[in-house]
Parts: sequence; structure tokens; C-alpha cells
Amino acid sequence: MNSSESIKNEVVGLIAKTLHKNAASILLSDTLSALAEDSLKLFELLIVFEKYYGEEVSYDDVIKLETVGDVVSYIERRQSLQR
Amino acid sequence: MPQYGFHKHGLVWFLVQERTHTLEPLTYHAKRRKDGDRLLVSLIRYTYRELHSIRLSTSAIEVHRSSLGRPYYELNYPRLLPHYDISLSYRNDIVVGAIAVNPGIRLGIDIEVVRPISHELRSAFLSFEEYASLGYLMQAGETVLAVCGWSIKESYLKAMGVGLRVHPRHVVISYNSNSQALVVLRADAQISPAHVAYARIFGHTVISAVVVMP
Repeated sequence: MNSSESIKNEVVGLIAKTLHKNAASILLSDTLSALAEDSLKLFELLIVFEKYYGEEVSYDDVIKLETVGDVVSYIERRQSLQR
Repeated sequence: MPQYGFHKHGLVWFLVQERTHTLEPLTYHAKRRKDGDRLLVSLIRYTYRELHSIRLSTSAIEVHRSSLGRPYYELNYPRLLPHYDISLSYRNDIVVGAIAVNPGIRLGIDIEVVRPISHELRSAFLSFEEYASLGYLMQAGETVLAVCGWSIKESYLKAMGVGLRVHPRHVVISYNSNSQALVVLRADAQISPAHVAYARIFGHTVISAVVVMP
């Protein structure tokens, strides 16, 4: 599994666990706000990302991302910068 | 469950309604938006009738959204009329709208269903001091206070038109013993304008509003 696929699986897994969704039903084109359904759940998801990826992600960046695919691309970029 | 109808509360008028579910072919989000727009138009018409004795037709009111989803309206009316800030929130089958009945005041409103919030999540947006401030005014359990805290912060961020783009921990709730009211501030604000928060608990639902004075 390449790095991109691994990040995608991680991100989808975190979303599924936090929002109690079936991972197989989550698409890269899904928006975070539609998946979360309300602002508190969206906030919880952002906090989970922050906690899981530590300094690799910042709240101020992630809140501006719209889709699951945007989050995957963002984490890829951040991890490649830190290598 | 909230009562339905108008509630006049200080500087803000509320209208709470059950969603209509009459727009089946539309998506969930489009249905919510239609319901919300319809409620805001009712609220705006009521306000101009009460405050200015003007009967606006529904077609005279156009509700729009900013790029961050904040609602605002334009009037097609031959005379220049004062403008009022509006806000909207949805939860399950309830939609609640509010209008600030003094020009220049900004407001945000939020409705939340009371549900368990983990300690970890709660501590990410609410400090112990804020929790204590909420407890001054509300006789409620831990879970309800935490939901009220979230709801007030979200209302404030909506009033400022920024939503979650500003981290809720940068918004501070405190209790003002002089006015015996909850006030909400940006933690980094140099000047502290008056931001007054209201919160009401209806069974398993919390409705809150924050009024930002000019």
C-alpha cells in the first residue's frame, strides 16, 4: 500500500469511527460538513484529526478544507514537508 | 421540545417552527434551506408589521447567504427601511430563526439537542471557569451546561460571521455580576464590546442567542 492510500485509509477510518459511519460509504468527494451533520460533530472530527496527527495538522488549516479528499491531500503535503 | 411561535426576549425576537417536509424531491440540505428561508421571511414580515406598521409581501423579501452561509436579506420596497440582523439554526425537525430588533445589533442563534459530550471533547472548547460561569445562571446538569456552552459559543461565532473558522476556545464565556448576565468575548479582543448571551433549555433542546452591540 502506498503512502497516499495509507493516509486515505487512516482519514476515512477516523471519520467513520468518530461519526459512526460505515467506512465503505465515505467518498473522497464527501464534504466534512455533510458527513458530520452538525457543528459539534464537525468540531469533534477536527479535534480527532489534531490529536491523531499531532503537529502535522493545525485546526486553522483543517477547518478551511471542504472534502475528505482535501484532508487526505493536506496531510500528504504536510507529511512530505516534514520528511 | 420548544414551543412554537414568536418569543420576544429583550433585543431579539425568536420564531421556532417544526420543519414542513413538503419538499421531497429536494436534497436534505436544500429542504433545510427552503424551510429556513420560509421561516425567516415570516419573521421579517412580522417585524416590519410590528415596528413600522408595514405589510410586506413575501415576494418583497429576498433571503441570501454569505460565502460562509450567514443569512441576510434584501427588501424590494419603494421606501428606505431600517435593516435588522437575522440568524437561523436547524436541528432534527426544528428550525429556529431570530431577528435583532435594533438596527446595528448583530446576532447569532443556535439550537442543539442535549446529548452526552465526552470530557475530552468538552475540555477542547470549554474551560472550568466558563463551566462555572454557566452554572451561576443555570440550574442544570453537567451535560446540559456543556451543550449550552457549545451553543453560546457557536451563536457568537455565527454573529461574527466566521463560524468554526475561529476555534471556539478563542471565545470566552464569563458571568458579569453587575448585569447578572452571561457575556461572550473574543479572547484576543483588545476592546470588549458588550456581547450578551441568552440560553433557554426546553426539555432535551437548548436554544441560545448572542447579541453583539455596536
